[in-house]
Amino acid sequence: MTSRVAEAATTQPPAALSSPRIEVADQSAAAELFLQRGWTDGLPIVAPTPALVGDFVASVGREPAEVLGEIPEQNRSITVEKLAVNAVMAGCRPEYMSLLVATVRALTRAPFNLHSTTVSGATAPLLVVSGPVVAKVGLNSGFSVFGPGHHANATIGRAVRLLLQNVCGGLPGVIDKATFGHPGKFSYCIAESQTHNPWDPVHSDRGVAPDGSAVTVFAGESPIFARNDWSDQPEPIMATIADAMLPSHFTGGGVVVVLGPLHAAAMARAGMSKADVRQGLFRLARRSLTELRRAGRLAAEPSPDDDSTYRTVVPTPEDILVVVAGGHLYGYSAVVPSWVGGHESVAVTEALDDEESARCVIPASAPQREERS
Amino acid sequence: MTSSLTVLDPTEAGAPSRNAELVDLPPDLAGVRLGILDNGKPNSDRLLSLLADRFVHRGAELYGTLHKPSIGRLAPVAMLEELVSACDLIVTGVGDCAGCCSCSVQDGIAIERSGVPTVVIATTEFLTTARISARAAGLPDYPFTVIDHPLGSLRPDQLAQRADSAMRQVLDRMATAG
Repeated sequence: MTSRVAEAATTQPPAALSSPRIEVADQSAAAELFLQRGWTDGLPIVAPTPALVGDFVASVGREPAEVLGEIPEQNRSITVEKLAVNAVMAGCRPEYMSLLVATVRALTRAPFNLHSTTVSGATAPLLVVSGPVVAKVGLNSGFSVFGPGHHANATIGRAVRLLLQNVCGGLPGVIDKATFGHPGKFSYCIAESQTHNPWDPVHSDRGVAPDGSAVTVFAGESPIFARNDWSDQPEPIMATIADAMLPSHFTGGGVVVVLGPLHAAAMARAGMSKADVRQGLFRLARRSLTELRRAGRLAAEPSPDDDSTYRTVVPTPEDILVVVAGGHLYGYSAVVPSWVGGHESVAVTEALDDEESARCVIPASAPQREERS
Repeated sequence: MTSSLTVLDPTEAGAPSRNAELVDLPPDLAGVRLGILDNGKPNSDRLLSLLADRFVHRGAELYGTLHKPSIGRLAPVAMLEELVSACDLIVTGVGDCAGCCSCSVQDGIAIERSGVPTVVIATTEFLTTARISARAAGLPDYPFTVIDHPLGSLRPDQLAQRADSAMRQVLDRMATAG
């Protein structure tokens, strides 16, 4: 990075970039200035020099001014250039840019409701990357999948965070007045395991060819862990996962269930399809109105049939997004509840086209991390 | 190597909309056809209903209350068109969260652009959000009707106080209009 930054100071910047330019003394002065102006997540950033940003724009073969998506509620659009500036700041490699372009397309499709999910601040867009692109960019789908330690997961998720603050109105404390926010608002990017997934990839349930690559975005709260280490049978495991789904808001919309490899294997061994898993969880993840009322979660007056009237956490089995990821040593799954707005934001899956997938290949000289299994 | 570094601004201010004109409220409410656009936040229906009562008490005729299908999205164009064609004054809200507030502001200013005056209600904590949204919508000095936050957990007597406060602000605006 250092040599490229030094180069940036001396080479003629590409003329096509239109972002206002600021002169600073050096990298640390840039980091301090960006922090003061509220342009970061609080962590140091890589200074977005015109040369670096130019490289990132060039990496997707698009014009800097090309609009990737719009936020009609804010009269704002997301251009390739602004995505590139924020991706540089986040510490991304240019090879991640095509994946980020697809992510912006997904985030700005109307059903996701980028405006309200961003400014409400209660959730972060969980990115679930699936298909061959996972290995190409070195995304982690294994141990500690929601955690730190992997460059692609950390920086791709962070690029989205910075974009939400700088371009989509999600400035913490000013517009985003979330009660808590959550740790995933720093970075929330996982990949689906190709090693441990006994079924077709998640994107194949959502209209993308099984052998393709895609990113799925979902306005998610923090993950809730479901531990069942004592059983290798589907029913008790599904009961444990369904129990972890109950903190959901019961306002429509979806839920993400990340099956750990051991749990997925138990279900596959029993001959269950992914549709069977969704059906099973849908059958179990429900509460009676009496139980909801006891938990203080219903405002309406009691009615005589409250004991026999049930609410399921999501409207249909198809609203349960089943993903396989995580380490394979312990019997855990994770549930990611959706934004409280429920049906007002649903998961969106966007495919990478062939050219975009090809652009994600990191040169062999760069160190890559592979999923260890 | 030089001693300075050029960096790029990562933010996007958004394309400013062409300026809208604020439409004056009528000087009095006698015979004014009132439309209500409810954004669906908890208690917004109750507050808007109490406020409509106060308008009607002063001679307005209630056309009706339309309910937005989504709290956190812009109102459907057809819904705005219906209100604009049937009403002389439209009250909307309540913006008591970031997502819903900015959408209600955009709805209100879209109605202003059609030549019908609006009363957009936001809570104290979301006035900044409302102002930023109004600037984006091309009416930066929009005179919001502001009630104390929060709204969702209020009891009926507290809601009535909020409705009274909102009505006073509307009457003040009418008195200074034109």
